[in-house]
Amino acid sequence: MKTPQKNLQVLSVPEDSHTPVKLTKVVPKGWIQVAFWALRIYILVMVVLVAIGFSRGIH
Amino acid sequence: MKKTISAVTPLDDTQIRAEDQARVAALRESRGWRKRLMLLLTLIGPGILVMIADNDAGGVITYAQTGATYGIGFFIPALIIGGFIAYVVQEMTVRLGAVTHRGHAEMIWGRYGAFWGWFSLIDLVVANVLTLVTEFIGITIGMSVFGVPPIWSALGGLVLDAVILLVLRYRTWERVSLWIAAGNLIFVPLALMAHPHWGAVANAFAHWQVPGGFTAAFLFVVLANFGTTIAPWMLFFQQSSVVDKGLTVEDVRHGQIDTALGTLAMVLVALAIVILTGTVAFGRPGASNYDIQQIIQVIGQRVGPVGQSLFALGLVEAGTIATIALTASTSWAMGEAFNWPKSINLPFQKAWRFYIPGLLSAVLAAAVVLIPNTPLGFLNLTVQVIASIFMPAAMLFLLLLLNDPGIMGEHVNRKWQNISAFTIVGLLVVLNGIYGLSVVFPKWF
Repeated sequence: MKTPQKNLQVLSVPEDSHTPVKLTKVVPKGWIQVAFWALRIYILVMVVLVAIGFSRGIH
Repeated sequence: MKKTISAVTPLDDTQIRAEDQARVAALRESRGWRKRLMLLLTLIGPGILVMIADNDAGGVITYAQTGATYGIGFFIPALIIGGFIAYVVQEMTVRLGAVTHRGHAEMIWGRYGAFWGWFSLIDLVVANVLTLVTEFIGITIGMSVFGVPPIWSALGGLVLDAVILLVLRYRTWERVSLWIAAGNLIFVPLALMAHPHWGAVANAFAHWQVPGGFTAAFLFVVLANFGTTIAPWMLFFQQSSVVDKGLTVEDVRHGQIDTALGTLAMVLVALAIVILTGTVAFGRPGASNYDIQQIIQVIGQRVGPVGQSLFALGLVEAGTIATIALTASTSWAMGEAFNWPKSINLPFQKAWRFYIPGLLSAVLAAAVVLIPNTPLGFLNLTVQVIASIFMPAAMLFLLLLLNDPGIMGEHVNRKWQNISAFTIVGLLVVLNGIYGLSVVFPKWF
């Protein structure tokens, strides 16, 4: 059974320690942009290779 | 503590979580070693769960086959290194979750956009479903030792998973899961029952060398062990668990201890399994090709029926705890991606969109295992290939987020953490790439 709401003012829990951080989309720059492009290339290469492998019948 | 709806139930889970946080705050303000211990016991959970669940049915089978094939040697020190790697990675999810109060999927969607969000979500859900298949395989094989037909053992695992997820709020769900996870330690006394040659174990550290040379088969086993030590779902699970548990920046230290304890247990169990089969199965004709049923049989012959039963129970437990973790991981990721109510604290009526994806994934996996002539080996292979593509991406997002002062503030990665983490990412990219290629083009190796 869910417990009723208790008086939480007794204990000091900082309010802002619970607040989820605000998220905004980042625009990759510099090395981060390079990293994302490297990731795209890695994924593309791996997907192509896996597709070739599956089409030939892996075991 | 059971979840219900009352007339004063808040619409979100933050106030429900506030009760747990108030309890922690009270313990933190108390003095004495007993209160300190209570605080630790209250705060541990996500780290131990994720690490123990990492010793899933597939992991148990991999470690057992590794010991049967290579004996006590290379992999003993290698598993310890694997544990360190797992700790470095998972510790970052503790900080990320405690500081941001957002899950991993949520962070990727919010920070890097819908493309990477969808990429991560689809990879995670597909990989989780396929991994769940291996968990139910482990559960059915383990229970078959006791004469339980697969349909009943699969149904039993499913029902247990669903009941504890739907009925219990987070705190109790976590405690029950921890008790189930404790069963993973069964392999430690079992290894002792095999009377291993401790000199051989010591020798494994003194003379660390590649057994039989660096062959393709050896590479395959190395990658399989590495792949089972760290998996994408672990990043998502632990961070979401930290958030749902309500940990804050004040709890990061305990979260690190929690992760370290989990790592210790994980490595201990992995070592125990390798030592066990390295002692009882290694050197027997055909041991390098033993499947798990044959290994169980050999354990029965060498350690006795009690040993066989304990191993089977351990396999069932490994599958069960991983099923619980993977189901929760899928639910959390879906809830975060689509901004649904996403807490185990919430009753089904308020968060059905959160619960259904995870439970459906388990139902699907259980059904696949029960279908006759399902190409289970092919499915297992697919999981590993997906992971080889997905893991580097998941690690990169984690590192980018941990180095983002805009969201982490003073809790960004320190230099040594970046050196360790980037080295691990580099190693993962190379190993995962090679592993994916070795699976798809075995003749190249």
